[in-house]
Amino acid sequence: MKKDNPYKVPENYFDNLGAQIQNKIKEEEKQLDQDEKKMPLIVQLKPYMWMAASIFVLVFAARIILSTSISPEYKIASFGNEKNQVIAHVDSSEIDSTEIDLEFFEDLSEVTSDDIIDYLSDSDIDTEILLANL
Amino acid sequence: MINKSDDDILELFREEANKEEAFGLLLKKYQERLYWQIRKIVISHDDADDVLQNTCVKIWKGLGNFHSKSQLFTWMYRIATNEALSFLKDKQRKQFGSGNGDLEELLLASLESDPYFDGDTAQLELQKAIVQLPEKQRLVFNMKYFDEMKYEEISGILQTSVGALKASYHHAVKKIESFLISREV
Repeated sequence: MKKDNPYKVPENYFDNLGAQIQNKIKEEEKQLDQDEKKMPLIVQLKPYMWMAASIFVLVFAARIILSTSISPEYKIASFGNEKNQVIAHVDSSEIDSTEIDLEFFEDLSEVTSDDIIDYLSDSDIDTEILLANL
Repeated sequence: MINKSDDDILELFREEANKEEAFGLLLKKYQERLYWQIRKIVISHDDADDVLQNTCVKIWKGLGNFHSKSQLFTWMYRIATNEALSFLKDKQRKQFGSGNGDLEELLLASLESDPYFDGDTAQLELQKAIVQLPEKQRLVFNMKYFDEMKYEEISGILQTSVGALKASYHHAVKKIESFLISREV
């Protein structure tokens, strides 16, 4: 059995091989640059879209957290807004009960401080304890 | 031209301005050995040329991150071998669809149609015998018999123990002998 290599290559194949390979590498790198430039706008903007979405979620979460720990005045104001929103969305069958609620709030605004003091005097509540707890 | 050591070439490659020059030196030093490793796996010259170019592109891309845990040549040989084997698997899939037909049939066709095969009848029969070997035995036989590599070197490239390689080579020789006897060469 002969140990010689029976395979051959075209003439001068190895002489030009290095240059051919270097050219292929240059072509590949040029292609890679073009592919990066040709990337669709949506792909290029993807990181920024993620950033915007993260900021939105953070702001939303912060609002929820703050609304649970914020001052009573804010809660009352929010409650007032919510009430108005509820009124705006109720259907006609619920109008009567909503009107009753509104009357209740209007009546409450007519109550004077003297009325409240009289009410407290008539009740069994100890006003000193009440004041001490303020 | 003074033959630079692998370490010198690597050092040169890491300097951006000398990258191309360093890669040119590396190609000059190793292109023929890489070509023959690939050619013996894929058989046809045209296929070997394609695979070698892809191999070199991969070496170019990976060379900056190469750290000498293994020898540079062992690392390049491994890339060339993997590229050649993947090429054959792709070719097999394209030829026979998902059914994965006979690789031996494919290689025999390459051998018989390759204009760059210049052996006599005995050499052709030997190549036919090698082509019918299982993949690992074929790789080990070519590297040991034709390239006269040491088992330790082959072990680094194929990442197989020396004991397993010796067994593969022994089986390969036995199968080739039986093949040649059956063909009365």
